[in-house]
Amino acid sequence: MNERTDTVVDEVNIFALQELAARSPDAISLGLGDPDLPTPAHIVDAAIAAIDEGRTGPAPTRGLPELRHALARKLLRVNGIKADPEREILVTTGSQEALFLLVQALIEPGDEVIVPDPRYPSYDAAIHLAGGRIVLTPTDERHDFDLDPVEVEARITDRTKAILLITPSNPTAGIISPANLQRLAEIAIERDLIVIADEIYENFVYDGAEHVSIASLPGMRERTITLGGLSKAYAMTGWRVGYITAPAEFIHAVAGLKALVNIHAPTVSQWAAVAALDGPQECIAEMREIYDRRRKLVMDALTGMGLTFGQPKGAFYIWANISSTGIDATTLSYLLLRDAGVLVFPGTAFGEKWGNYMRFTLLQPEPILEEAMERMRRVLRG
Amino acid sequence: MGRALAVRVLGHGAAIGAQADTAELLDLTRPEPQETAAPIRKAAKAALERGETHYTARTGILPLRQAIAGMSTVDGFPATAEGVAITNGGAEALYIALQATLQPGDRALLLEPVAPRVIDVVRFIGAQPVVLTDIEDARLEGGDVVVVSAPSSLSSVAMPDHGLTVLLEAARKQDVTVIVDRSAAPDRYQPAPPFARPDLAAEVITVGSFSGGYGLAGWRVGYFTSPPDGMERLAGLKESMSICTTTVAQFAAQAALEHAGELLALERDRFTRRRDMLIQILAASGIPVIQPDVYPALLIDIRQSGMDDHRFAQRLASEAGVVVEPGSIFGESLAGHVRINLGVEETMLIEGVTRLASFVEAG
Repeated sequence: MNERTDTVVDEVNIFALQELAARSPDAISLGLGDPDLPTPAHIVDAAIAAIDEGRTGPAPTRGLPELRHALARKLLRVNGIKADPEREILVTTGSQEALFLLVQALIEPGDEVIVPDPRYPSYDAAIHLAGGRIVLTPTDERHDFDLDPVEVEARITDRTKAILLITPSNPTAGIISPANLQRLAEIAIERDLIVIADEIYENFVYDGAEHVSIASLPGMRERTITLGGLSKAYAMTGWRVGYITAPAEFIHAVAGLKALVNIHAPTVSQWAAVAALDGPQECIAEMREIYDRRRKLVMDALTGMGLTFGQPKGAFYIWANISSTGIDATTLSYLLLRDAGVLVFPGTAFGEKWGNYMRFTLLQPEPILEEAMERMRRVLRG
Repeated sequence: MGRALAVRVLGHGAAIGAQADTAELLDLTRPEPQETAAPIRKAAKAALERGETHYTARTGILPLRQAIAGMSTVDGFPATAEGVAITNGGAEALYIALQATLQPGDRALLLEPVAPRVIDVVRFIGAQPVVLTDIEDARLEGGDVVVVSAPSSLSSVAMPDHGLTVLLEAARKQDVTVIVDRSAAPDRYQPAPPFARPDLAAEVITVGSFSGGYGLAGWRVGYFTSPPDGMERLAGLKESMSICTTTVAQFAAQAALEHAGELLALERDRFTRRRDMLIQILAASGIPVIQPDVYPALLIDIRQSGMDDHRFAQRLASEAGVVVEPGSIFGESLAGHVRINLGVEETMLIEGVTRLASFVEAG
């Protein structure tokens, strides 16, 4: 058995919680990052048209040319990244796979990767499996979970291969401010490091914040691996379409691995993705407005319960400090599920040190979020 | 840059065709695209229309896992729904099985014939591939994992129960993890009785695919089954690789199993007809084949040409404009044979095989 997969297995507490919640029909899930909103109709219609027209057969490992070209247009339009669709883009089976593949391709045993903490646990799993070492850089509530370049620089050693950045962040909903991002880019250039930029939540920023792709900054394109996907932007989690854009040599290497791992991303989903990227983009703004309203609702409710969270400027999460309850996060997760019928993931699912935090998702309609908050209020008061 | 650069990338068979002007070549290795069958299309569209666009459980939708567990159990490979996970194609299932069971430095015993991509995966993981040529001799000493395809989509031949039993007993004795690739199991010309030793089969990891006989290659859906003690590790790795399998593809696969009888019968008829026709063309020139148990591969014995299979394939491409795979790509057991795919468009298939027969006759 491969012991390097052990970190994956250690993360099962959230699966146990989910299974428990699934057995309780009345439970409200504020757990998984799976948008409740439907995939917009024009995207579903494009998939149905592909099925009707027989466009369901095998696709190239790098992805349908139509999709790679649509991604190249999007990267230029939205991110200011100029990418050659023939050589610098790889379509993946979701952004989770993008992360997995690029880490396996990039990281040699002993390499260190600097990762902001708390973090999405799949980073640990992928880096550990490659034999790499994850070096955590703390972020904190006082600074709205922005990433401090000084803290990052202090952790660079001669084994550091890459800095992984996620903005907006899962789980903290923090964003990396443009000034800090600029400084991080300078550090990467000065210290000759690769940047892995996870931009899966790029569309969801609030309160006038702006998303900046680090690959668009001067001198960064050649050292940045940007990954993203359609799951969050277009409520397409079940379709499994993501992408990597990076210099051609690296894409070539990752494509070789992609061919071994699962050959190509599902064809029907790729046609749906073409429709999503080339079609009307109003759906993203509509979703953002919906999430923003929910965000304010949950922030107000949690504040009323004595919880704090800095200022969540992105994604669709609230990373709330539960110290005032006097209960640790794992206990509170089970308590809320049992007594309130509300599923919330404990902070420890996102890092060992985060037993005073919980991640709330905003992925329920407002009346249900209100109900969840009311149930929580009753339990915490009792 | 990391290990991916060390991977030998693709194209072992296709490389032969690439040397010549592809427009002029009859490529007998690439099947023509198959339309997804009507009942599967209908089920997939219905799933999309009712909003099945979210993540599923990491192991997949329960009705599909139940159906796979039932099918596997009937075949003599006992499985429960809790021990099944749906994957993004059979390739992902095999990758997960290998990645979860092999440590860097471990020895992976690969029973011939073996696809070069499997050797590549083992190397990529950092383990050592060891190709076994004879199942009856397999003591499995010093091995950590053994991989066997039964039936083999490469040789087109099913593995006799006796051989598999010997292997599984040796694995039990040596405490070697067994991965049985059953991707070609639906593609039999004749129905097979269940494997005679379900007690041994219950201890193995199996991998399967909906790409072959069900015609769902582009949908990317496969699965693995695992004994209970290994399931959490495999499912955890699946989750960290791709969260879950494409939801609509899972519903397509469920429909495929609900209509398995009719769908597989259509495929079986199509391939039986092609097999018989081609064997007749080849027999007329005195060229034997390996009698296939499963489609779509057909292994043609070209030893009478006096050439080895690589040389034969090269000359066939350059002189007759026909692309085939040298059998020895997949191991010494298929040396002296070339491999074609009966899923190639029919007129091209007939023309190509006719040219191959003339090429052999012309010496």
